[in-house]
Amino acid sequence: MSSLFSVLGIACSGVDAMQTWLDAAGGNIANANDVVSPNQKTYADELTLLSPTGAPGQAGMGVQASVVLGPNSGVLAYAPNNPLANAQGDVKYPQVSTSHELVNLIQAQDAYQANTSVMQKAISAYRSGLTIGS
Amino acid sequence: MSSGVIGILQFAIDGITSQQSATANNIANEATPGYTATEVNFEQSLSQALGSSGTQLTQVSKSPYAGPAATNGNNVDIGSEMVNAEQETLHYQAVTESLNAQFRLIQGASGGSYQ
Repeated sequence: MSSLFSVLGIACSGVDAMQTWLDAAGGNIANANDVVSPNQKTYADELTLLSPTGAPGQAGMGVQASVVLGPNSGVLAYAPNNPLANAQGDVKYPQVSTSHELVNLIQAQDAYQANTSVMQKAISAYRSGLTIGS
Repeated sequence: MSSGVIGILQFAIDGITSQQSATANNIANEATPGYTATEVNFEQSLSQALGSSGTQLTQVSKSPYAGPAATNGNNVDIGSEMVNAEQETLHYQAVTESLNAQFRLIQGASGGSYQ
């Protein structure tokens, strides 16, 4: 059921997934103020979906993250001085919730740290395991 | 399960390894919506195995954690999982140390040195 040093693989999947989440949240925050003309598509919010890996009922083998794109319809804002504004003086902003993304960043950072701490603990256990019989 | 102290310690190492995998998996899924934490109770399996006289293969039992779930359906208690992870590491090291002590005894008894 478990491969050699399986905890490291599981914690590694957690670190990878959290890295994906951090990247997505970082990208969303960086693009939160991308302004386009109302007739164009805005930056699409990157949503990270986490799901456990391994068959249901079997021993879990970690977590995986997939990124799906949110709506790119955007929200209109009145900015008549903007060179991209249309005849009504509107521009379009992406539908990124900065507060939501900041919460995501904190959650992803905490989970990342939890996984690296699991790695360190696993390494010290395995190291002592390797001394058996020596 | 093989008899003798070494067999018991070996079973303990296997059980702790399972526990570590379950804990690592729970921590990796700390933020996964709808995830139910798994717990491994190997101490119970070990005492059952020690109580039974047969030589049948004993397996550690896994059960879903019954704690309260958050609004996203995830019931991983990250605090207790981190404590479990630390505890399992120390437990693993203690069992390894005991195994080494057993092997030193055998080594001594078979003409080697006890160190």
